Amino acid sequence: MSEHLVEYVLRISLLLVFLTVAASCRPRKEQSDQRPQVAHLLPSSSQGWTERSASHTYSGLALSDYINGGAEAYLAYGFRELAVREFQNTSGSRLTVEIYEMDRPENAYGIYSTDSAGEHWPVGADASYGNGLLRFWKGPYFVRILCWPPAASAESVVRQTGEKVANAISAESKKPDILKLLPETDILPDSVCYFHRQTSLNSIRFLSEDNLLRLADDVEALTWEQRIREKDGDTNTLRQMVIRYPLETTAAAAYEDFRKQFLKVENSAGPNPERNVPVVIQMPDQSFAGVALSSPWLMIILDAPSYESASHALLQTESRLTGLPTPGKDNGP
Amino acid sequence: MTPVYHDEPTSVKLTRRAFLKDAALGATGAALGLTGCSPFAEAGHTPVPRAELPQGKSRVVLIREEEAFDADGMPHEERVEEILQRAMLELTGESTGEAAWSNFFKPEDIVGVKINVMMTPTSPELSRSVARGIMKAGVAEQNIILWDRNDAGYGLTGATVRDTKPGYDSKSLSRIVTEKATALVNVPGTKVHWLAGIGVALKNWVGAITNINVTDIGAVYKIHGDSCAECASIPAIPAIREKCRLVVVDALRPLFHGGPQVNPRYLWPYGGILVATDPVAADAVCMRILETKRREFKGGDWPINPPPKHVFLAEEKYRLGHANMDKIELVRLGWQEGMLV
Repeated sequence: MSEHLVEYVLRISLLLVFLTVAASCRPRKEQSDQRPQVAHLLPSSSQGWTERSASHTYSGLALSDYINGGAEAYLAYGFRELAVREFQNTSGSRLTVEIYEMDRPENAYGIYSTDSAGEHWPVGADASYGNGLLRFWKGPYFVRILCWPPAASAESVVRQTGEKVANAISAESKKPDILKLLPETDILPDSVCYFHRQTSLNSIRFLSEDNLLRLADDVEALTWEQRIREKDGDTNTLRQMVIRYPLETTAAAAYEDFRKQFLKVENSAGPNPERNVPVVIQMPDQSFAGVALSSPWLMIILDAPSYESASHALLQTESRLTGLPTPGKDNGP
Repeated sequence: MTPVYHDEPTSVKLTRRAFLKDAALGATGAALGLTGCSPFAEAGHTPVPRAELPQGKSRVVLIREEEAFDADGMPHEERVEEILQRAMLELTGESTGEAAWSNFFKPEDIVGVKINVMMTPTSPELSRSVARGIMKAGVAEQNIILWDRNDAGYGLTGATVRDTKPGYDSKSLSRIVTEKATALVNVPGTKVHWLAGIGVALKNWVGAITNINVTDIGAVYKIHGDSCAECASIPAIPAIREKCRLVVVDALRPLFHGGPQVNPRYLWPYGGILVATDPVAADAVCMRILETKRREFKGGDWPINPPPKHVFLAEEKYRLGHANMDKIELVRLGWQEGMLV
């Protein structure tokens, strides 16, 4: 083989490697580009309602111009763009359609899960309605349709508009796989919330200003309230939290911080500390709280009525971890 | 593996004093350049605590009207104005509206009325009632400016039409505060707030500044960290603190969960207005109303999350007023059922 031929083959090989690498980096962008413009999903009309103003879009941090003080709730779920259109009827009611595009379906589910209470309707992937407001998610989109003040026709116009928007969205609605950790029974209605950031947690259950749990955009967390049946027949509730970290070291550090700073337990097993054993403690308000590490997973119990209920809940959740993807080992985030 | 039970309860519950200590230390550290997160940004106005807390108890008048809304669910303007008038008489001890409003304003004043137009807005019906009250003190209608952020309107029409851009001074504070108004009135809505705990009188002044953002990065006023505790610093800016003479809180239809974005499921027709001169006391009373409503709705304990630190910081750090209910004289008038406080 001549030197020229060798050089030629090397160049072709390098080009192929470059193209392969470049191609492997592209799918996300292609996926993004395939999405319709958010504003194109807005309904152009609604029967009996006239458009009040032109549609508006807000991208990234500019969301604060629309929801001053509330934008962070969306930014915590990979917010990309919002499109809004307002209609009004002859009696002065307004119909506001807001379509929020998030970075992925799991985050559209996440922002929906922050408040899913209401009458559940078959619109999109999940929907709840009450007092003139319909909230639903489908694909990477979270949608709010509000009729205010509630007109006599509010329910039907909101439903029709919601169905129109949902039908315009063809994307797949993938829920976070961490939801597989939920128990099959005894979850309090509408208490499940999927989140990433400390600000989201603190608006659900305030723990600390310090980010003890090392929450971040690449961390997946799930919380729910669960009904507990005590031995004496009493029914009570507790809050559970399960967190999946991208790195085992982060999970271990979060375990240490939570145990030491929230539970105030310096060593996990008294004079002969064994790292990472589950810990349950009675808090000053007499409730029980606990933590267990099964790296890269962290499980937390709060507001439990007894040591037994907290321990039982921790162990039950840990037993469900089997089979879920682990970051770095499987196809986790 | 059986969880290890530790039977030595330790003090981990967040106490008011503990978190205020943290907040104060955070601010001190920031001022020393330790955290890079100072609310005392060089580019902005410096908040100055009052020399001392108000002497004696702070008077807050809470008045409610059962028929505050018309058949369409909109505030009934005449009734709103009527209860505002009653509340002002009670607050001042005067026997006429003219005398009551003249306690706060002189005919030559230019009055800036800081309303809230985002999400849970101040009701235009109440904004107009406040403007008419100010006019009873002899202030000309065109000298009353109703505004939020950079949108202002003059006189009664300012309640709904705000097409003037007053702009901001070089330190990112509304020119209405620094240049135009000789007196200010704070007329906020009432809501539970996702980042700050609650958003009532103290937080309403955030709408008077610019160059802020949720990350605080590059912001002139860094108020979003620590559950927005340093929102309390804004009403401590001398230009605001010295000019603001009255607080009128719109509690006609408060939002008890999930704000600032509104889910009507969490609005209720409370039909209330609060008047006070102490913004911290007004916030403290609203906080208790919201806490009680949440407990009632849930049928059990449902604390406001995150805790509204800025209300306590306003008392302990900036001495703007009383957050302790023992230091508040609460006068309850009108519709008593469901008062919640």
